[in-house]
Amino acid sequence: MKRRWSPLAALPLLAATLLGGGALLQRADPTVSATAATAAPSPAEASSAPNARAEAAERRVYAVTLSQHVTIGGDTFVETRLEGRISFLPIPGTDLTEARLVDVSLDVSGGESPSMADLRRPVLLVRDAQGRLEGVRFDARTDRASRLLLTSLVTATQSTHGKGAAWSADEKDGSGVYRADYERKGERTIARRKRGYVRMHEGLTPLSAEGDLHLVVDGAGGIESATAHEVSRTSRTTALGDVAGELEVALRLVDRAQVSIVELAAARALAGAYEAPQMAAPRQDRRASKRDMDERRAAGHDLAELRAAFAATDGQPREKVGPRRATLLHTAGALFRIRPEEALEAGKQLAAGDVTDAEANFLAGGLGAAGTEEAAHALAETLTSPEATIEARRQSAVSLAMMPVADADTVAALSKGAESDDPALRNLSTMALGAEGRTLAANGDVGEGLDPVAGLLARYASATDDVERDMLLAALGNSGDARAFEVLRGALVSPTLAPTAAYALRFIAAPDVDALLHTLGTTSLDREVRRATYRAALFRDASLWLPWLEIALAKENDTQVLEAIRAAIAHMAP
Amino acid sequence: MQPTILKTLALLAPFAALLAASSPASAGTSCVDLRCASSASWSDSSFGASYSFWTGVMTKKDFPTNTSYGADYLRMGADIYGTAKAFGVSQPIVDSYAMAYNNNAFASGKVQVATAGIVLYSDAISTELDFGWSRSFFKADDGISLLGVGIDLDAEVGGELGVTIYPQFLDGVISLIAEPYAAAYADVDAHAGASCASVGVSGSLTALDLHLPASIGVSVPKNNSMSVMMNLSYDLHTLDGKLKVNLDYCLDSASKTLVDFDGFTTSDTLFAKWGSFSW
Repeated sequence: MKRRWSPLAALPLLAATLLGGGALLQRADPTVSATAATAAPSPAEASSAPNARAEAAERRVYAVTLSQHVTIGGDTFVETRLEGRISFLPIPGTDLTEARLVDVSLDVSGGESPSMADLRRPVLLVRDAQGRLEGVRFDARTDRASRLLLTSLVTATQSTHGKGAAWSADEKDGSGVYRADYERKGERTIARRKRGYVRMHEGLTPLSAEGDLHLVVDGAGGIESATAHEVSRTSRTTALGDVAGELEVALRLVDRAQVSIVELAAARALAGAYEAPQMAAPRQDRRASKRDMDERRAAGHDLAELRAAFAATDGQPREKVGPRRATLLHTAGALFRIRPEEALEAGKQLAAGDVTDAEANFLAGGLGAAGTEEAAHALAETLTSPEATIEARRQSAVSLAMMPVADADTVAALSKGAESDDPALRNLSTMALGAEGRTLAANGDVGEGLDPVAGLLARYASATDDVERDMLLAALGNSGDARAFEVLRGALVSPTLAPTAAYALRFIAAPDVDALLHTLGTTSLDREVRRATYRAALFRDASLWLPWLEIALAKENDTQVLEAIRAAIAHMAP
Repeated sequence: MQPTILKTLALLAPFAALLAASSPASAGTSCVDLRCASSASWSDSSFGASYSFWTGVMTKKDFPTNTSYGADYLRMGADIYGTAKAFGVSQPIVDSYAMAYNNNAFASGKVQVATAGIVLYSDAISTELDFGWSRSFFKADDGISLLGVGIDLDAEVGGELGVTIYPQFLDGVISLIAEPYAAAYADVDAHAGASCASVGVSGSLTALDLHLPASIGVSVPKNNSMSVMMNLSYDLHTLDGKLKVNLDYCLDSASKTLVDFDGFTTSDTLFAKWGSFSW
């Protein structure tokens, strides 16, 4: 569906003469004129004469057309066409140029429409000493769609000073920083080529881009016309398909006039009221979009209903209920994230003495899926609750092992679990303590009194049999803590402990670990050790290991070890 | 959508037949003596899955030159490994096994359940165990932001993993009933970064559902011979389903298929034997 606006707003900008300042008239419109390097004034000239009596400024008015469209998977998704006029007014003594759209007509199909009031509101262009566009300053009320469209328009036709027959500059647009190569094609013609991005603005999808800008300048370096054409596409295929955009902008000088001191003062006043310069549109907050997705997933659900629905799947053929159970779990996670009080209630229910094993599985799984502090604390409280069933406590330990949250409360609860009379809970809690050690280290939270890895190492040192040692090696492997390296290396000499020790090296970030694993994979006579080594390799640096794995694939002859090598290659291969 | 077999696996003869497949098809299983194995991997640029398993019994026959293995050597049980991929992020969702060993008159056993590299349980086998956990395994995201068009996609892969074990170490006889299993399903949520837009996702995707029940009872080998009673089977359902994004974008609408796999389901006995095995 198309929508069209044809505002009747008249151009209130023209005419009027200022006093003096003839030299600055040559500068005309910095936004589009600075390319004529030999004719452009130096920055020192441009910044002189702040005195209003000495000021003179010219507003240049251009007919403008803009066309842009975005395709996803080859289908046109958003299409925008704009026609109108745009004026540029350099503000003497500043690095600012006021730009203002007037007489705009706009067709938008499929995209978010800019407010016409926002589109017509003037913006301030900020330029550096080379005339390069540094950013755009907006009125705070300007909507996102207007910012994007105006930024596209002014960046597509920007140019940077240069001397000689050719020059290059790094320029910014709404997507990132790109290299612009300029070439003087004749006395009045300049071409700019844009090839790819040096870097993208934060949060934007990586793009490849190609574009050409043709400028025709007058004898004083002012732009008479500008024609820009750019094609950009995402550097990788997204799940939605290839995404491509095309932008065409054309400017043609239709009027120029000196402005009144009143107009100039009004333009200057904008600088005090407008936002700081920006080039990218406000980044969409990923947290906000995740919250929106959570809210939509959890809409209409509550804990009681989800718990009952999950319980109803118990005992059903798994091929019929598997996807349903996973969806219920994900929905519970979303519900617990947006309504922490539901997570606390789930914790209370999980710790109750009458919870069934299936319900404990759901409640602990949902809290684990939530991944929040409230959920982690609810699980920790269950783990230490005297009323909680043994299954609820086991389930809690498993969820804590898989969560990205760890603190003093969760470590204390797991430490208590690791001393339980129940052998399974002892084992599950010990494994989870190792995993929490890795989480704490990743978050920079390891400290005095909060160091589960130190506790595991102490337990290993005092262990009296290989069954206990083997369990502790597995837990230390979850931690990826470099302090465990010597213990693991020492355990490799024991035929009983060596496979677990080899696999436990997987997360330790040290070059010695790769060398050791490589040695184990290529020289160990124990197939269990070689297999564990290649399972560990799966978590190492792919650029280092892929060549080693390809060689190992050719040399290994044990079928199970070969499977581990193939799995690692499949996982690492780009 | 046509998933492609990963290059490295395509080099392997057992998967050659899959190269021309337009959708996942079961990889062949290979059984030698008392053991069976199978593996396969399917993927497009965004979604995929892989698995491998081993189940059965190995004896001194398989390691004739390894002097550390005695004449009574036994290794028996079931081992599964599987990955799931969503939006280009691949994670091992299961790395689990239950094994019993005998060597030089010493019998032992070990069980491990791991996901995403985190070992959840690792212990010697001594008694009956029955673990099953429904969990979210990992999340991944994708999206676009180009010329003002912003769409965020979040995938969550979750399901179940666990193991059941019933071991018996008797005088001269070892038996192990074991079933490691894992299932992973992908859910996708979407968000459009425009006030006039809405996005919905329909469908579901089974990445992997693998159960590997093994029932094995053997006498400790003597004179290169042993009594055997075993049944090995597997249930496999992989990469099946469709996920579709429906966009209502500022009065226009469109739909995009994120993934569309025609998977397969296999449930079969791999190997069954009641008798003796000699070498």
